[in-house]
Amino acid sequence: MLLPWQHTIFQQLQQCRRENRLPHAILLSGPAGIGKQALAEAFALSLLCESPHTDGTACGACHACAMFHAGSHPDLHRIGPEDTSKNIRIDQIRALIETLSLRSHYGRHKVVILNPADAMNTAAANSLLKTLEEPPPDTILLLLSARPSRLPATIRSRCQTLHMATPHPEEAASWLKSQLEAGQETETLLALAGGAPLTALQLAEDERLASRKQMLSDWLQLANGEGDPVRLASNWVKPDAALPITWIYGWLTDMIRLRASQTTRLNNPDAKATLQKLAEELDLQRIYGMLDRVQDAMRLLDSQVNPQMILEGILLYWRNLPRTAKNN
Amino acid sequence: MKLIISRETLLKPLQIASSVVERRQTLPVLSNVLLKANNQHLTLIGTDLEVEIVTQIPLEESVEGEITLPARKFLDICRALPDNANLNIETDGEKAMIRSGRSRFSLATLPASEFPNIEPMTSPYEFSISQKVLKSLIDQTQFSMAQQDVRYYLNGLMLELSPNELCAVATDGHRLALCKAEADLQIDETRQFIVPRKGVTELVRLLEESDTPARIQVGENHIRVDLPDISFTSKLIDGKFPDYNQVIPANPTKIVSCDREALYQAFARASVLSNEKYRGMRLELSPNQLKATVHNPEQEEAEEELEVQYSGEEFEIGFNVSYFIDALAAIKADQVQVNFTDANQSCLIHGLGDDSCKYVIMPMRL
Repeated sequence: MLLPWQHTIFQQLQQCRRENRLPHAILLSGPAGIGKQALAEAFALSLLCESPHTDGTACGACHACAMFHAGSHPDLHRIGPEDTSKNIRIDQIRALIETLSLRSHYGRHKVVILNPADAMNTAAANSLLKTLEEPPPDTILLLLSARPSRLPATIRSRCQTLHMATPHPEEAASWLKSQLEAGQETETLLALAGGAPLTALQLAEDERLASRKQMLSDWLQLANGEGDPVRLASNWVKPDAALPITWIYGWLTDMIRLRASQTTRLNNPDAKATLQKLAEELDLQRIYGMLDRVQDAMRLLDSQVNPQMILEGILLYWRNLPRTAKNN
Repeated sequence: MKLIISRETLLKPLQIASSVVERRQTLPVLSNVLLKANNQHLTLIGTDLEVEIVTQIPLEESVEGEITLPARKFLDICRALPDNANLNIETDGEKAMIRSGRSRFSLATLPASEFPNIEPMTSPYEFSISQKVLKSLIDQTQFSMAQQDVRYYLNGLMLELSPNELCAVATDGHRLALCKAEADLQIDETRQFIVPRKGVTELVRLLEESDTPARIQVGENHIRVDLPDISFTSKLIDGKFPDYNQVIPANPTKIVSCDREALYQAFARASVLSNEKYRGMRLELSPNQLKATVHNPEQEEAEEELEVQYSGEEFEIGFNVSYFIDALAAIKADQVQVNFTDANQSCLIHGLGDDSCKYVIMPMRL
């Protein structure tokens, strides 16, 4: 369960545990797709296991381990958005506080994994403060977030932050290789995923990579004044509007990088020539302007705004950018 | 696992064990009941993680094993079978086969290793007390427990063990109920633990009005009550109960005594017209007379006068009438004594000449 690049940080936690100075609330932060959940689960299991190995890892054979893997361990509480909701609601936190007020089932730790912690709405976050500050004895709260800045300062200040960095590219690549069938382009996948191995793995396993090729060519056509942004937006919005926006974000940042240097590391190494050409047609300031729009769009996606309209806005803006190539 | 059992012997223990299983569960295994068979016994275990009930049935012939079955469906099948049916239960791969006469059921199972049953306690403190006494202790105090209070240690019943006494205390911050019973506990120092609300209400349902003893074990994390054929376990609340002795008025000066039933009836009538939310009631005391007045936002009023034994000065005090009614209903004596200090301090109610049960109520400003 523990991923190869997490051993150091895992042992750090075990060291704290042996020295009996484990914080009661840990905020695990770091980019999406680097395995925060995997680390949290591995650590939770090591706290709950009846006979852990000397290095702290779980034995995998005891009753606690069996229940953990079946998802029925009574001292592990996983909190996340329920059903179709994007948020963690106050009722979930209240129920959690009530269960935490009871003694642990097996006399070891009580562990809470809140993932993603930034999905708590304001009311839920506020209701957690008292418990987060002073949880009952032997309770450990693990808050996971890829965007810790979205958490209220009152939550952040009550946790010890443990930042997880993107793994070293070589380490990530060798792990990814072991997970994939031979012949897949691990480097490209990793670059597309911004270095996050789990995201890269996901990319390889579904059809999103194929759809990206189609989107890039549609996007190029738009730049040439061809194609209908509204129709494109309605195609792209399914199944997940966040995806095309992340791609566009990656293309734009690469365009900016290419304007600065030819040898820089890119998110889209496979599309270097195309992006280079696009970048030369545009004023650098305008690319930055477009990037701002995309960042706004990413924020808006979490709100109630209709995702298709967000996409339409971006695509129209992109089509209407003044280009030197067109003027000549 | 394989066993044969008659419907009659299975039905009641199964009902009891599955009574704590909740219909809507986040963890699938919690909607199941655990069956363990050995040579002599079939053990049934149901849990909702807070409370666990274990029942045992003697078996004549069986093949050892353990498995979990969907509690609700298993119970419904047993209930619907004819009166003197015999059930033949057998595991078959991932399914459990139940055969009875010409009926056959194949139920989905989950492995017993996934079931979060509570382990036997390590070196618990043990004692015995008659079921009747324990039941009355709980009945006379449990209504004062807090409900979903942020002070989570109030959401339960505190039991205090001292060398020759068992004491139950419940409070929600506005009122307090305390009840003591003599018991030979063989203990050197006092010990306190808090049983959560859910555990208290489930336990009181299982206790009977009989002198048969309940064997109680208290560990670090759980309390277990062993009754004949049933073993009940509840988690404990992880917290410290406030010092309740400070709340009990030490030197009340204004002592009123009267017939309990008459006072109860008078307050019950008056409460009809009290404010639904605040339930305020004004009490006016003058020598040998008590007058209770209530009114509500619709300007309706009720007034009750009652003859009492009282010889102090006249004064006025306000209370939540529901708290008074709850306390008066719980007291068993025919005559009650109500002790006041002044209009700003709590009053203490107990049976006349019997202070094994005490009720403290905070006044209201009206």
